[in-house]
Formats: sequence, structure tokens, C-alpha cells
Amino acid sequence: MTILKNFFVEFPERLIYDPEARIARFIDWAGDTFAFLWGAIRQFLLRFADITHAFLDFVPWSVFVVVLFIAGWRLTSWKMGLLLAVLTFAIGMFGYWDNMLLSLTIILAGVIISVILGLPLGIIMSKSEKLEAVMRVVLDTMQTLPAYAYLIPALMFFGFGRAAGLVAVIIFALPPLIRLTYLGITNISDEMIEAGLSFGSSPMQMLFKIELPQALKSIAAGINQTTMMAVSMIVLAAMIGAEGAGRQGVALILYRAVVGQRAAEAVVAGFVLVFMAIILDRLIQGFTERFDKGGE
Amino acid sequence: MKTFLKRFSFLAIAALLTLTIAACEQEDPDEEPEVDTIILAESDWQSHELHNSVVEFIIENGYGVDVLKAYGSTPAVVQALRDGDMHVNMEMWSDNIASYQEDLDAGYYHELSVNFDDNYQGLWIPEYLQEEHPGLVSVHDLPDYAHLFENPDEANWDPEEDPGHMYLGSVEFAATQFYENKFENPEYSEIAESFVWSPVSTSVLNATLYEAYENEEPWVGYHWTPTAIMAELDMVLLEDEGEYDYDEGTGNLPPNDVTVIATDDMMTAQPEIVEFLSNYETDADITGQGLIYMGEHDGDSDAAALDWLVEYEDLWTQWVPDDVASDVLDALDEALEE
Repeated sequence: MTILKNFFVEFPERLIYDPEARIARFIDWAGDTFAFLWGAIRQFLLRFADITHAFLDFVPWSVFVVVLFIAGWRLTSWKMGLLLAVLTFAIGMFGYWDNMLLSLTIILAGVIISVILGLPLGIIMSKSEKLEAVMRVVLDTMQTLPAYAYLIPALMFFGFGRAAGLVAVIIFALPPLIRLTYLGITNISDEMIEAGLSFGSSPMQMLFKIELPQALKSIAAGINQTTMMAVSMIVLAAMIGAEGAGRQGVALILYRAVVGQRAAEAVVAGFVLVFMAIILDRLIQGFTERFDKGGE
Repeated sequence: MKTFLKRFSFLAIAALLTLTIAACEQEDPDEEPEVDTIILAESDWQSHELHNSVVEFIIENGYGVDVLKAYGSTPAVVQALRDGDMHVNMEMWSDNIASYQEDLDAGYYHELSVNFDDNYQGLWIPEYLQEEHPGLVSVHDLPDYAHLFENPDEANWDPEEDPGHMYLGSVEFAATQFYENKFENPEYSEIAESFVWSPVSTSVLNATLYEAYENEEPWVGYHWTPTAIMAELDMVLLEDEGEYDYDEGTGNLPPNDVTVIATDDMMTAQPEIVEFLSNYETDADITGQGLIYMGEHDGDSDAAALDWLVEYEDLWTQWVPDDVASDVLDALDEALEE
């Protein structure tokens, strides 16, 4: 009886297998063996972030406000334009303009790289059932793995700073874009596909003339989700210097205010991030609806 | 009808008042506070985990009282102690807690003993780096050696042109603010001009230090003893000749009085355990021995505590009455057999 109980009720000690040492060895091995690769990716990500930040920093704040007003107005309504302009202006009034640019740099760079990676991956996934099955597992893992689990490995491969931060943001923000691109393409009606085939379209023509235009709305929704995920991830990624070593981005200010129990500062920094999220969300939605109307 | 309404409203108001008064009534001040389960404050550094595991084992097996360890950042822990949501803290880094003296005076909690006070904090470099560059001894030498400390956040870091990079401690540490004060002080402006610095969590601090140490690369940053990593690695504390002043950021941080404290409730509810905690005194070396074991065993503080209790039996058995000591020793034998 006790043998049964010891075996089936409490997990038997001799069956416990500790993978930690192997994982540690694997991380070391991967870090050393592909050092040149991680180094190259790091260089690329840092340059990408540099260029993005240089561009954002080059644009005067007043141009930002005016452009956002016009964009909101043309895409949706003058009320939307006003909202976007006021929110942008408010970030400046809170004294967070430069800090905001540091955070926006990583969000934008992360989203652009996610689009560059996510679109082709979503398309390939829709073309191959085998790949789809594999990707599904990979994407589920990426989305559910707690960020804390890969922050430190990212740090070891890419060094403290924006490169590791971008990797963390991309791991977290990429999956919805791939999924929605895949969904957009696989959900096109059979009639549409038939029509394309009966006109003798080549696979490339099918993709660019029929599938992608039809999937555009779904893809835009994916970009929107990816952007929102990037905004939320920046708060955690700030712990590994995502906004730049020695720089004070909004997320780092928020993080510092929270652990230092400075409630008012945390609220303000939190709102700046919320404003950024609203502005990005409304802009992308505006574009999506615009495309949608234009397509019909 | 009218009288009925009158009576009814009178009753209703009376009932409401009674309820309100009942709700507002303070707990009877004469009632003994009960602490059935002792809640220890826990932090994300290892010496705190080790001392907590030691105390947990002694209290649970020697006094038969349950112990819970509750993790929190330093400000959160201080607030919880004030509110009585936690009962004991084995490591109050008293000089780093701005409200410490105020809280003691206000009677929120009481200092029972000094756990250890021979700890060091400051900017450290690996010993191999100093052997390579014997001139790097003080923080004032840092500007001359800034070219060694690559900024991992720069795509094309140029040792001649770009500032070096150093790591500071967790943003909630008073020491982090101290170094930010230091770099604003004109006396240290050369460091501020030749370096950028990032405050990071303890896990990031340790990860970057291990990584650099393994490859014998330069690393400079804040750290402190006693910690497992500092006990394991050969590190050198950079000197800072100035006189210590927190607000001005001058000099080196003095060793902290790391105290054991207990709340008011704890004092009245568990006087025997308070007596034991009042005797709890170690030092950085005694703590460090446990930390080395902990570092070798995946940071398992409970296992390290068992090893520590065996190693320092002569020490801790003096802290508790003989019958408690023998109970703990019996439990220890049992635990080690498993």
C-alpha cells in the first residue's frame, strides 16, 4: 500500500529529471558557437534602432502634432485629428517628449522588423500544412512563455541594451501578425481563388493580385495587435536596457517609479504609454478602414 | 399611518446608527494580538534568503510555529512591516532605508539585533582586470580607463571617442541614488563625462558580471558583500578617498548596519521567538560560507540553511534554550537523512 502511495500519489523522487544543467550548457554552447551570428544580429538591431531614433529625433515636435492632426482628420474625422494632436501635445506638456522618443524608437523598430519577418512567415505558413503545424507550436510557445524566461538569455546573446530589448519585444509581438496574415490568406473565399485560377494566374500573380489584397484587412489587424503587444512589452524589456543604456525612456521611468513607490510619477509615465498606445492604435485603425473603403 | 412611518423611520435610523458604530468600532486594544504564522520579509538577494531559511527551520522545528516568507521590494517590505502585514525582517539594510529611525521612534517595529555590519558596497572590478591595469585603483582612475569598458548598447563603440559603460544596482536601492548623486557632483564630473551608467536589477547585474568574468573581459559596476557571486568571484572594490556624504555623493558607502527587526504584534505575541531573534548575530564571513554553498547548489537557500546549521552548530545553539536546540538538532538529523 505505501509503495503504491509513494509512487502514485507523491511524485517519485527518482523520476525527477533536472534539465537545468543541460539548458545552461546549451545556452553557453549556442552563445559561443554562433557568436558571430549573434554579433551580426546585434549590430543590425542597434543600427536599425539608431536610424529610427535619429529620424524621430530629427522631426520637430510641432511637425509631429500637425502631421498627426492631418492624418487623423484625413483618415477618420477632424475630431480624431484633434484627439491625436492633443494626446501628442500632452506628452510634451508632461515633460516626456525625449523620453517618449526613446520608447517609441523601440516600439517602431520592433514593429517594422516584425512586419518584415511576419508577412513572409505568414504567407509560407498558409502554403504548407506541415509548416503550419510546426509554426502553430512555435507561435503558441512564443506567446505563452513568460518574458522573464527569455530576458536573461537575450541579454547573454545580445548584450545589455536595445539589441536584447528589441529581441524580447519581437519575440512577444511577432506571433499575432503571423497568425493574422495566415488567417487572412486562408480565409479567402473559394470563388475568389477559382476566379484567379480560371484566368490562368501564376502563383506569384495569385499572391500579389488576389491573396494579399484580400488579406489586407486581416494583416492590418495583425499589425495593430503587434504594435499594442510591443507597447506593453517595452515595460518589461526596459529592465534589460531596451530604451538604451544610460537613457531614461518612459518605461524605465515607470519601472523606477513603481519600485520606488512614487505613485504619482508612475501614473504620469503610465499615461504617457497609454497615450502612445491610443495614438498608434487609432492611426493604424484609420489606415485599415481607409484601405477597406478603397478596396470596395 | 403617520405614527407608523415615524416609528419606522426612527427604528431605521437607530438600526443604521448601530450598524455604523459597530463598523467603526476599533478592535479592543486590550485584546492580545495573535501571530499564528510568522511572516518573514524576503528580498531578491541571497543572504536574505539564507538567513530566512535558517530562521524558518529553527522556528518551525524548535518553537512549533509556522513561518511564511513573503517576497517584496524594499519599499514594499517597509510598508508591510509598518502595517503589520509582515512580522520580522532578518535583513534591514538600515542605512538604505530613509524612514528607518522614524519608524523605530514611532514604534512600528523594533530593532532586535545587528545581524551583521561588516559588509562592503561600492564599484567593483574583477581582480584580473586590476592585475592587467595596476593603475586602476580608485574611482578617480576610471576616466583614464573608460576605453576598456565597452558599451554593449553601441553598434560601433569606439574606445577612443565613446564613453564607457558601468552598471549600477537596482533602482530601488538607496545606493543607486547615491551614485547618481555622485555623478552629478562636480568633483566627479570626469567620470560622468567618460561613462554612461544603467541601473539594473540584481539578476541583470549578476548575469552581465558572470558573462564578463567567464571571458575575462572588463566589467565595472556596483555590487556588495555578502553575496554568493562576490564570495565566488575575485573582485576588487575601487577606492574613493572623499569623505562620505550621501546627498553630495562623495566618498564610499560605509558598511551598513544590517539589523533584525520585529513588529509590535510580534513582540507581544511571540516573546520567546523574539528572545531568540535578539541573539541572532552573524558576520559577512559566516553568511558568505552559506552563500558559497547556495551558489554551488542552484541557489537553494533551504539546502544551504541545513548545511549552515550543521557548520555553525556551536554558534546558533547559543541563541536558543537547550530544549529548543535539541528539538532543532533532531529535526536537522532527520532532514539530512532524507
